[in-house]
Amino acid sequence: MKKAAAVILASIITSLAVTSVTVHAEDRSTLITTTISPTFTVTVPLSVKVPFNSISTDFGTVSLDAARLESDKCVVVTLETDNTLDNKSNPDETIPYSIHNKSDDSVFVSGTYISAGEKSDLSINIKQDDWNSAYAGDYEDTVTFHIQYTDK
Amino acid sequence: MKKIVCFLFSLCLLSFSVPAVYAEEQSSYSYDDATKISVTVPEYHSVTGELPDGVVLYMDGNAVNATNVKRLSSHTFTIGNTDGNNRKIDKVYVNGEDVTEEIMGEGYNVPSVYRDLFFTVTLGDEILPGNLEFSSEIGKNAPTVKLTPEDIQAIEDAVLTDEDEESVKNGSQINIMLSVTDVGNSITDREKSLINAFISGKFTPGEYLNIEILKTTDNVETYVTQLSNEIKLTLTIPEYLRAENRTFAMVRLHNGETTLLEDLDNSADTITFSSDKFSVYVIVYADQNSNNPTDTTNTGDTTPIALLVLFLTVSATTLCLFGKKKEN
Repeated sequence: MKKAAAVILASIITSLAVTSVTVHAEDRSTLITTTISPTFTVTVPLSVKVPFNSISTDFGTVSLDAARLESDKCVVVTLETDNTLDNKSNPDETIPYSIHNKSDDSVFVSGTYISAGEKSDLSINIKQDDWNSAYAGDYEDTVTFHIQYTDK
Repeated sequence: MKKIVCFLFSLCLLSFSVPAVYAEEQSSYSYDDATKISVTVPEYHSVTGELPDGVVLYMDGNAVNATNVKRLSSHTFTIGNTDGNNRKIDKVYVNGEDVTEEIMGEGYNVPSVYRDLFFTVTLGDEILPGNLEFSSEIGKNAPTVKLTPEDIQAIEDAVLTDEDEESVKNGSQINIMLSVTDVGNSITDREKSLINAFISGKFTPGEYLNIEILKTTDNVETYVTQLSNEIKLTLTIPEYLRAENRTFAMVRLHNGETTLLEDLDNSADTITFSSDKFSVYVIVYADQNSNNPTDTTNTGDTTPIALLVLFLTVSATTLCLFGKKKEN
């Protein structure tokens, strides 16, 4: 019994010492496995001041940088905005705006990125008519970029 | 011993399940990042322009050079020429937009100024005909001048040279101004003595005047002292000079030469004279029953001496005749 216990203990210790390494004595092959944690960096635009009367202003870039994703995963960046700049003194006075993909001028809602270097160049668009009817004052809005690491 | 074996097996199983849990945690996660967008809309907008000399921009009827207007305020702009420009305005642009038709018509109306406005004006090659204007200026205490359209035309004809008329056709602006000024306090003693010597014993000086004709051609001023023709001028005689049985005339002192100019009208309130020289004038007068026309002092003694002498002579003669009859 002591011998049996010693054998079991020895096998346990061996299995703990070399994790995930199984040696099949029968065919004498060795399987080596490892886990690499996914890493990535997402860059989102910095705060920006839109020049007066500019109908299209560069807003910067959403990009996936230095990414090492799992093969079935992706990074999704979703933009949350009410598309309205509010007058800081009188919130009833607003200027509508929209954020666009500069590549095709489509409205940017979200972007899916798989590999490093993928990006979306964005612009802030304000229609001339909206500029023309805007009251004097300082306007502001905060947009939120939701960044998700998720399944494809 | 069995307990030990079971514990070690459990430990072994546990050690294999840790990586699986880790993987599950890394499979999906998210975070947020906020970014601020800001804008400043200005309170005022500038109104400026690139205007040729002599072209004036008017905003709501007032000439403006460079100004600021409140955002979203309403304004009407027009444009015009002054003396400094004799070429026709060709095009007017506001921020590059052609507004010639509106601004040269009823005005370019901006119901809500939402941007800086920059006016650009270009001139055509066409020369605009010039303009001839006449005006009169009567100084303090000076008599007024009665001018009919015919009188003004005669003055213009007498003042303008052939060159002047040609330059008006080529766009020059000519202004003719007749001015009458009381110079009683500024006339020199020499001028006064010359006039008094001229009228001595015949007239009394009333009001000393400087009657001038100023011709301004494209902002260049010239006093015209010698006309090509005589013109007639009618002055209103000042109230304080008017009196019964008083006649008036004008005396002209020009280049040291005095000339009497008779009153050409029959009105007691005006004096009309003709002249082609303009410098110092004096309204002079004579009282018809006065023995000494230069002494106009009213002493208050109005007794008719001659009549009295005649009356006394007649009375004495009558008394003498009656006395002789009684003696007979």
